[in-house]
Amino acid sequence: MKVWLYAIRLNTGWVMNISLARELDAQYWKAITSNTTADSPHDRCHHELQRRNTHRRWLRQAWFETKVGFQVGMAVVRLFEKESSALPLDHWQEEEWEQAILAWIRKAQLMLGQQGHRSRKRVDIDHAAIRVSSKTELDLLEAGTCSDTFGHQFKKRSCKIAMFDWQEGASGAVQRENSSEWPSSELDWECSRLSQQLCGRALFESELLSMLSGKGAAWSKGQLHAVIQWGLLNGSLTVHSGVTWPLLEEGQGSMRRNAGDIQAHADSAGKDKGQIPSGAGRRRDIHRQGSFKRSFILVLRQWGLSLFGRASSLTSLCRLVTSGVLRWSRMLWRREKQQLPYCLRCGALGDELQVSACESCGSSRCYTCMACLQLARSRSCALLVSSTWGERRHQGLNDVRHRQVYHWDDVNSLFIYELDTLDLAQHQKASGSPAESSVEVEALLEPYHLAPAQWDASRGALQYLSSRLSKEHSDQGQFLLWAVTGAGKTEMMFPMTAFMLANKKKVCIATPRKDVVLELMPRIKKAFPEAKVVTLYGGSEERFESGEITLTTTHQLLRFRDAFDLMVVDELDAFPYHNNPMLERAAKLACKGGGTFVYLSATPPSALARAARRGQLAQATVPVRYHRHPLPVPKRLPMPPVARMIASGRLPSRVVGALHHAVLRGAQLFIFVARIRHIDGAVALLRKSFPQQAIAGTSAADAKRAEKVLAFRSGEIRILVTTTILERGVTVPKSDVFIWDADNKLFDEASLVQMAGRAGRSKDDPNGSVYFGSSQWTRSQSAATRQIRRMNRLAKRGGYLLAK
Amino acid sequence: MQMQSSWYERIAAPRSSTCLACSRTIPYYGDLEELKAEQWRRSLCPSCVERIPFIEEVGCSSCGRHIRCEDCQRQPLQQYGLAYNRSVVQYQEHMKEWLALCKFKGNQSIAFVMAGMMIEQYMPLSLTAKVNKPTRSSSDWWSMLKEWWNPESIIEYPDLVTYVPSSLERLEERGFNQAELLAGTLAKAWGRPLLNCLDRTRDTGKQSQQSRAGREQSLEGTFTWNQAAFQGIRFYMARQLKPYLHILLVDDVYTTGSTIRACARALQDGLRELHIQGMVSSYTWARA
Repeated sequence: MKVWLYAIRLNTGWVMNISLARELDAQYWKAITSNTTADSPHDRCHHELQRRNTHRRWLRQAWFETKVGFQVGMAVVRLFEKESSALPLDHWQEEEWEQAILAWIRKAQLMLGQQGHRSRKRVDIDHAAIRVSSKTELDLLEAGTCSDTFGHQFKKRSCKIAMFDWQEGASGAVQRENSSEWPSSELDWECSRLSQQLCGRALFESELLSMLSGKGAAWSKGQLHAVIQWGLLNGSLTVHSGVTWPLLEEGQGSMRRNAGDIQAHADSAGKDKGQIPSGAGRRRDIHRQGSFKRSFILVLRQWGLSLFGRASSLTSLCRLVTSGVLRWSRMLWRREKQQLPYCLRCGALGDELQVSACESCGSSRCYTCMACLQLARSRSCALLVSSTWGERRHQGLNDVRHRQVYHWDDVNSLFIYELDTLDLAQHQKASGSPAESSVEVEALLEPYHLAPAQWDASRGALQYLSSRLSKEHSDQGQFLLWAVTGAGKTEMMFPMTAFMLANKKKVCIATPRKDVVLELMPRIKKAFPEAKVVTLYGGSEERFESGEITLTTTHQLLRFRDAFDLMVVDELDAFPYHNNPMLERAAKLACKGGGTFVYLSATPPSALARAARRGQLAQATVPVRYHRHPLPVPKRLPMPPVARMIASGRLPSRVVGALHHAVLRGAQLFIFVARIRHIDGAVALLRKSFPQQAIAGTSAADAKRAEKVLAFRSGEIRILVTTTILERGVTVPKSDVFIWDADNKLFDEASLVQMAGRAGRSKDDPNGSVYFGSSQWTRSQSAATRQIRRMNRLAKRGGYLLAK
Repeated sequence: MQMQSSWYERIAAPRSSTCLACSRTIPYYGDLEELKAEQWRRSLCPSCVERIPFIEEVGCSSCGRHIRCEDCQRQPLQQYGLAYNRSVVQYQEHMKEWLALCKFKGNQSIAFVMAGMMIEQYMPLSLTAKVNKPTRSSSDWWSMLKEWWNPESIIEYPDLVTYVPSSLERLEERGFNQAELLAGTLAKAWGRPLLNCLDRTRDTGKQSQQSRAGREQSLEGTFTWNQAAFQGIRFYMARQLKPYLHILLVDDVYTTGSTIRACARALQDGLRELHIQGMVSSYTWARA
C-alpha cells in the first residue's frame, strides 16, 4: 500500500491529508478554490472544513484511525498566497517538515503494531521524501511534476482512467489520458454507484475488482484507487485496513489528536518547531490513570446513590468498593485483549494472525489473517472498503469491535454477555397486551398450512419480530426456535420471511451446508415469487448480487457487513457453526446493529438452552413433529463394544434379535458407529447375520457417499452403516435407528438426539424404534433420553399430540 | 516443545495444532517460528507427509527430473551456464495445491515447510550430481575412507544463495516473493549469505499462463545484475580463500526451466564481468 501524504495550507490553517491518488486531491482542492459560483474561495474553504468538522472527523484523523500500513511520500502545498493569520508552520522549511513527518510516522508505527515490540522498532526514514513549495502550487500534487526522489519511491504511473458503463459493458468506454480531466460530476456519479453497490458489504480491493468485472467494468487498480479516493473525499466510502489494532478506549480522542495533529501542536506550542509531544510513550500511563479515576468516581457515585437510596452500612460500602475494583480489573483485563490486533473482516485474533515482513507496505510486522484466507487475503495493509450509503454511519466500521470483543475465545460466553434482558421484558409486555398485532400475525400464518405446534411457535416468533420492529434498537435481538427433529423447521421460516418482506426488510437465511442451500432455493423462490432471491455458496454465480432474500452458507456471510434485518440461522449446532467462533462473528457482523437473529435448532448449545430456560432469551418451542405423534424414546440395548464384536467375529444374540425384529417389521435400518474404521467390520458382521438384506456402509471418507445415500433413500439399500455425518438431513419414511457404541465420547447429547430423530419421521410410520447399544449408560445417553422425554411431556401438556 | 515460563502457561499450553496443508488436528508443535527447519514434518499431519511425491531417484542427471527428459538432451543446461538443477518433489496435483496455497492465497507458513523439505533433501540430491564428486587421487586414502564412511561429508554447501526475483508489481500485489522466502530459510540454515543478485527489469506476465516458446521469448533480457550485488560479491570474494564461487539459485518450481536458464545466463554474465570463476547450480522445490 502506497499513499501520498500532503499538507495543505488553507486560510484557516494547515490540513494534513493522505491520498491514494494525488491527482484527485489536487483536483478536489482546485474545484473548491476555483468554483466561482459562491462567495470567495476562502469562505468556501472555510465552509468545507466546517462541514467536515461537524459531519466527519478531520480527514487525516479518519485516515489515521483506519490504520492502514503505508509508505509515504510528502508534498507540502500552499493553497493561498495571503494568509489570514500567520501560523508557525508557514515558515517551516523542508527540514522541519521532515522532522515533523518523521515524528508522526514514528508515532504511527508505534501505534500500528509495534506496540510491545520496542526492540524491533524501525522507522523507515527513506520513505519520506518531502518537497515543499513556496508558492501556491497545486501542480506539485499532480503527476508530471514530481521530482526524481519521488519517482524513485513511487514508480511513475500515469493513471489512465477509462470510463465504463457497468451495465452496458465496455461499449461506452471513453479513454482519458489524465484523470484530472475527469469531471468531478462523473466521478461523483461513479462513486455513488460504487457506494450503492457496496452497501451492506465490506470488500477488499481484489474482491471489488472481481465484483466490478462481474458487472462488466474491467477497472484497473489505479482507476479503482481514484474512485475510492474520491469517495473518501466526499465521504461516501470508508476505508479500513484488513487487520487492525484497537486503540485504547479511554482517552482515545485525545490520543488521536496528539498523534495526528500537527496543526494543534503548532498552534499551541508555537516556537519550538519540529518537536511534537510524544504521546505514544506516555500513552499507557495516561490511560491507566484515566480508567482508574473513572472507576473510582463510578464507585463513589454508586456509593452516593446507595446512600440516598437505602440505609448505608459499612458492608454495603465494602461491597461496592470491591465490586468497583473487580470491574476495574476486569476492564483492564479486557483491555489487554483489546490490545491485540484483530482481523476486521472475521474478527480473528491471536494465533490466527500470521506476522511477516511485507513487501507491499514495507512493514516488518504485517499481519495476515489465516482464518478467512479462503475468501481473500486480509492483511494489515489491505484496504477493506465499505460504503456509507443509506444510513451514513459516521463511526464506520469502528463499532464492530464493541460487538465482538467479548466472545472471541469462548462461544459459550457469547450468550451470557449479550443477552438482551431489557428487550425480553419489553417483548413480554408487548406480546401480552396488544390484540391488534395478533390479527395481522394470524393472517400471515394462514397460507402455510402449519400444524398447531408450529403455528404457536411461529406466532411467538412473529410477535417477537413485530415488537422488535416497533422500536429502534441499538443491539441485536435473539430468538431461539427450538424445534424437535422432523418438526418442519423450513415451513416455519416462511411466515417470518413473509413478515419481514412485508415490512421492507432484508432477510438472510444461513445454513451450514451447501446442499441445504440448493434444496431450499426452489422452495423459497416458489413461496416468494415477487422477491429477489440470491443464493450464495462456494463457487456460486451470484456472489456479489443483492436481493431481498439471501440464502447462504455461513462462510459467505463474511463478505457482508450490517446488511440484514433478520438473520435466520438454521442448525445452529451443526458442523461448521459449532465451535467456530469465526462464523459466529461473521453472522453477528452481517446482521444490522438493530437486527434480529432467529436460531433454529433441535439441539441448541447448552449455553443457549440454559439462557432460554432461565427466561433470559426469547424462545419458542415446537415439542412435536408435524404429524403430531410423540418422538420415539430410545431404548437401551446392552452390547459389547463394536471393536470387540468385530474381533470376535459374531454379533450377540440380543443384538441380532433386535435387528431381526426391525427387519421383519419392514423398516430400513440406520446403524451408527463411532469410528470410520469400524464400518467395514460392522458391514461384514451384519452380512453374516442377514445374508438376504442389502447392506452398505458409508462415511466421510467414502467417494460414493452421495450415491449410497440416494440408494438408501430409494430403498435399495436396507441397512446402512454410517458415522455421525448422516446424523441430520437424511429422511427415510420407515426407519429404525441403532446406535452402536453409544457410550463413545464422540456421541454427545446433541448428536444422540439428532440420530434418534432419524426414526419415525413419516406420517405412516410414526413409531420407529431407537436403540442405544452400549455397555455403559453414560451421561450423554441419559441426557438425550431425558431431553426427548421432556419434549414429549411438553407436547402432551400443550395438547399438541393426536388423541389416541 | 519449549519449556514455558510459568505454571499457568504450562497448563494452559494448547494440546493440539492444525496441519498446515489440510488443517487436520495434530499434536501441538509450538510456534512455527521456533521450529527448526529439519522439524518441518511436525507441522503436517502424517497423511500429508506420506503423500509428498519425493524425487527419490534422479532420472535426468542434469535437470533433476524423476524420469529421463528430452529437453536437456536438446538444450543442455550447461549451454546456459547452469551446472545442474535439483528438485525435491514431483510437481503433482497435491503439490500444486500447496504451492497455490502459498503463492496465491498467501499462506507463508507453507513456504517454511517447503524450505524444510529442501534443506533435508539437499545432501542426497546434490550427491547425484557428477560435478560435486571430487576428482579422486589414489594416494589420498583419508578422503576415500571419509567418502566411503559418510558420502555426504564431501559435499560442500554453496558459497552464496540467491533467488529468482519477482517483478515489483507482483511483489506489491503478493507482499512477498516465495523464492526469496525459500532461499532465506536455506541460507539461514546453512549459515551462508543470501544475496539478491538479480533484478527483474520488466514484468512478463504470469509464467504459468504461457506456452513454451512464449516463455523463452518473453524472458530474453528480463534479468539483469543488481549493482549492489556486485559490491557484495567483491567483498565476499576478498575474504574468501578459494578462487571460485558456487552460487545456488533457488526457485519454487522448475517447469520448462526457461526462467532458471535465463537467470543462470544473467548470473554467468555478471560473474564474467567480475572475472570470477563461478559455478551456478539451481535448486527448486518442485520439478514438473
